[in-house]
Amino acid sequence: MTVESPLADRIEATRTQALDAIAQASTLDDLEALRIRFLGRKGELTTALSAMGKLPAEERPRIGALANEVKRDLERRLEEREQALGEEALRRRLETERVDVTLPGTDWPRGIRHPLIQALREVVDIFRRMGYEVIEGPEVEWDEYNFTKLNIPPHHPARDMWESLYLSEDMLLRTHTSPAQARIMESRQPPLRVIVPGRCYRNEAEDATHGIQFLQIEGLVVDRGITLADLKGTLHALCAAYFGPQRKIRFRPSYFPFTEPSAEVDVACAVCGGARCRSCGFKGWLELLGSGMVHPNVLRFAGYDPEVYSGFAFGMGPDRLAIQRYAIDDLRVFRENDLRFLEQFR
Amino acid sequence: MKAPLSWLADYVDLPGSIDDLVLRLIMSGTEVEDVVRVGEHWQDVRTARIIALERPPGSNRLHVATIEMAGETLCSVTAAPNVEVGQTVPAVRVGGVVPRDAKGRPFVLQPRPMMGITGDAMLLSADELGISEDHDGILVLPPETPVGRPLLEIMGDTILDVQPTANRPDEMSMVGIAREIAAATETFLREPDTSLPAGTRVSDESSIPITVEDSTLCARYTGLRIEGVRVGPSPSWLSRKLEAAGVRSINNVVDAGNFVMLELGQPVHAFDYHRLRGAAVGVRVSRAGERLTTLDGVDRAVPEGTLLITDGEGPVAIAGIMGGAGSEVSDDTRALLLESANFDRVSIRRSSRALGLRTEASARFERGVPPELTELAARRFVAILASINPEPLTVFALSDEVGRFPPISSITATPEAVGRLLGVETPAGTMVPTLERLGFEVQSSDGTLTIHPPFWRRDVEGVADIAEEVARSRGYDQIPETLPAQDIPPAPLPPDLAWEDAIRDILLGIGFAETWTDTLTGRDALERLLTASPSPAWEQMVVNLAGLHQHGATPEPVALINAPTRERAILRGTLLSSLLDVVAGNLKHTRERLAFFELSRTFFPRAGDLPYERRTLGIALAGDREARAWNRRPEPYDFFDLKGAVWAVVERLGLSGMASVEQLDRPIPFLHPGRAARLLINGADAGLLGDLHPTVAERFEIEPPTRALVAELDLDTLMAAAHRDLSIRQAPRFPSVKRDISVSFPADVPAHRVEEIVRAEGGELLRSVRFVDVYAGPGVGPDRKSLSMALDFQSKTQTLTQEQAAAVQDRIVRALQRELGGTLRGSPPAGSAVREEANS
Ligand SMILES: [Zn+2]
Repeated sequence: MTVESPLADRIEATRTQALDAIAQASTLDDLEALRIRFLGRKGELTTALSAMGKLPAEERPRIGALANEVKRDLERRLEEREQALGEEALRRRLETERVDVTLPGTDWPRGIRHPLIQALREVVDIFRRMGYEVIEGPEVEWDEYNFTKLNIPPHHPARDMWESLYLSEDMLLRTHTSPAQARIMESRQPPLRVIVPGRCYRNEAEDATHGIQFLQIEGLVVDRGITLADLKGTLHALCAAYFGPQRKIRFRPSYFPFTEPSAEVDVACAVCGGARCRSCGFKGWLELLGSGMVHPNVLRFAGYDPEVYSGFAFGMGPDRLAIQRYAIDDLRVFRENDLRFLEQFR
Repeated sequence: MKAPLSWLADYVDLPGSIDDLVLRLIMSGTEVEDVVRVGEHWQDVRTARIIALERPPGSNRLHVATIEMAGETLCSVTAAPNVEVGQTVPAVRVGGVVPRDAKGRPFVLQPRPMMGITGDAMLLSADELGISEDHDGILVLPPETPVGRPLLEIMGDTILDVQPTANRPDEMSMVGIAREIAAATETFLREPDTSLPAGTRVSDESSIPITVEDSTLCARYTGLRIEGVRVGPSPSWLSRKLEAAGVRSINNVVDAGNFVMLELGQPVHAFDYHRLRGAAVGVRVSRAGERLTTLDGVDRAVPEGTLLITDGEGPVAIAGIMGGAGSEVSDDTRALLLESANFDRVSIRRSSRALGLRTEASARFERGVPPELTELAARRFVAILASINPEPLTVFALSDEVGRFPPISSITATPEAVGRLLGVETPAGTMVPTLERLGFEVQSSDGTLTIHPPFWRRDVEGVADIAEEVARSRGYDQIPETLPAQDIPPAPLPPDLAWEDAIRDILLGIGFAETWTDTLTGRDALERLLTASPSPAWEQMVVNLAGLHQHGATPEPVALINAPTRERAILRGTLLSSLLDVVAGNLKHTRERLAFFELSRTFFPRAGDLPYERRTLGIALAGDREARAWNRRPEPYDFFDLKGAVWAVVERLGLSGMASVEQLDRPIPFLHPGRAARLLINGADAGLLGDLHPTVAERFEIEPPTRALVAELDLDTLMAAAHRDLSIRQAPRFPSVKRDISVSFPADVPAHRVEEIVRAEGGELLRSVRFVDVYAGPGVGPDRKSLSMALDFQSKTQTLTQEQAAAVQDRIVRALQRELGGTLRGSPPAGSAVREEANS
């Protein structure tokens, strides 16, 4: 459109000037200033149009149309430019927010489980799933419960199996969790299916395989018709759950005064699987736990009739379970509480 | 018990494979601790005879020995002090393998000059052969040993280290072990021979008069007088057997006695008959003040009540433990009284402990020796001695004092009863031969078995024992695997154990490490927590003393009467010293996140009863709460980290509504007086927490700038009040109004009081109050502090207006002013202190 008019020239000049400025604006603030400068109420275009009143009437529509066209044009250009600048600003911000993703992640604090207690809890859970009740007993016991009621009278040679720490003539730190057997049988009637976790103590020289203090889990089942086969099945189930079904175990006859028949359970060496190697001292099998059918005398002491009831009992150390699972060769690591070792059990 | 296969082979045909034999023994219940092969790396060791000895010039220690070995004459330089011309000794030629060096490894012998002389061979000690630790001299072989033969042929053996279980005294003997092998391999036992060699004179005269005071302590005493004895060295077959079994050869008489004991399990003792005063023996318990010099040369005060053997005048032996020196067999001995007796196992066990004297004999009597054995052992002894004595012996008539001992009762059992215990059918057809192979006699009638155990199996008393014999003979691997029938309803975890697990999990969840430390400790270790003077005040260390008294207990330590060491002498009454030792140990290599807890029991004495065992939680913090990292700044743990952990436990137990942490009401010597507090549950003590006192920290080698913090909680008290809070509230439906206020107070006003007043005045509309800043300094005034609080107002029924919230806030500020001398600091600028958020 060609408009021969000084006002039209001025509008066109404003357009040219504004487009130039818009193209050169580098920030959103610049653009806003341009919008006010050219399109605002006191902007240049508005000011130019205010002179329209002085024009002859026939020219007004033409100039008006021109002014509207320039205004729409500027608005469109401003918007385009604004979008471009916005995208550019975001791009730049994201660029400045770049991080080195190869730096390490935040080291959130995590709890460190003690492997012995963890093993104990796992075994307790396995037996709870098999319907066992969990009970506890005192760590300091009467000699009578620790020994006599378990068919180990005073001066019995089997007492040599447990070197004891005494608090008085008739009171000692329990050498096993078995006294809880006598306690529970005295206070309840069959059927019984219990496990007893807890700390035990023996007066032994401390070395790689012995400690004065250790954890034990006692198991006791008494009911009509409980068999040695039930004991075998139960301990197989335990080992399969704890070690996985591939690990081999074996039952062999043994002796405990409070069980008859008695059985020791060995687990195949974690390294050689029973073929004998250096790490198992060329034994192939390692003692895991002691067990057996509750001795008729122990049933009788509790007032149970051995003709009617039978039961099995077992006692195991979570330390042995843990060393067999993790192939650790020295129990002392469990007592040292060294974070450099424990950290592995996060 | 060391059982050489060469010896066992006298009584039973051994299977070809040693591994197989050992496995069969283990799987039938005989524990084989170790299998020692005598003769490893002996391929180049041969016997040699020393034909000449001379000293190299300039040495008074070395010898140059000329030896004859397989027709060759060689020379060897040796430092052994015991070499003599004519000895037969083991030797290895240069280039051959010496079985063991000082570290127990074989090596090839290189020519090596000693004092300028290079030998062709080396003479070996027992240590170099791996037979014993004896490396003081070369091993001297018996004179009749052939020269030039491989030593392996002569002395190679395999020795089983058998550990008989306490119920099997019969396996304390070669015959007993051989009997197990025979049963396990289904073969037969060859019994030892008691026939006397031709020429032995047998006298009708009685051996000796015997008086047994109490036959319950000595069930049987068999005495046998033997004359014509010539004491001298044993033949090599005997000394070698004993040495293979780990017993030193002394002379023919002592060796014959030890041989019988090892063979049959019956200890015997030979007195010099002529040194017994009065030609009579008696068995009685000792009286106060008696003494005896025993064979080992020790003059012993005999504890009263010890079983003694006496002659006409006094004690001559401690029965079943050790003989006396006065009647000991010597080179001049011509006549013996052999004692083969049975003593009560409890009596021997007590005396052996009281005397601190344990012997091969006492070890066997303690386990129980069957009284039936005495005569057999006496007869076997004389048969052995007669065969090795240089002259014919005269053997007198056996004197046998037999007291009363309980008969072996027979057992009535049915195969069904045995099967019911084992969980597998055990037909009589397999049971009977199994038992018979083990020496049992079995009579069967109408499906019931009457079983007579052999005399050496007094441990077999009932059906359960029979079941074990049957099961172990079949092999436990033949027992099926079943599970007990499920007719017991599952039981919930006892509440205390469930709470313990909950506490453990919450502390693990916030990053703590669980420890496992010793219950046993020493006074010194605990006293580090206390001010030493004047005497340890144990009650100052204990959490909730009143609770202790309620359980009938007192705070001093529970002590052992047979403590293994001073450091393991008492049962701890606090977990803190153990936890601080763990902190100190770990501080040696890190200062990051030393956050530990232990859940276990503390012990307090109760008169006439078992100690009170308190469930206790101990917590220790030290070092920095954050691991040092590029995006974290290390900040040390402080009191409020500790309090927050304690509070997490309190909340987990559902106790936050009943709990408070308050100023100490008494000084706790191991806590910082200004940074310590007690935990109260419903107003009663339940725990202590605070910074460790710097003096105490030093005693644990926790040095500045590292600070440690500790807490100990009485879980018995906490758990008694614990409950699961099941009253769950909906999220609020109306927006809240949040306002921040800063109020200044006198410096000693506890924040806890401020919070109480804010909550009381805020009433229903105050949803929460949180301290967001604590400030003291310019602008607040001397001895004052400013607490900034974020208040969150909310109504359950409507959207609260700013005006409503402001009204409540004004009430709060006025109350703080009235009750605690609080002053509102300025007026928060509009729009900054007042924010509005919906549904926050
Ligand atoms: Zn192995």
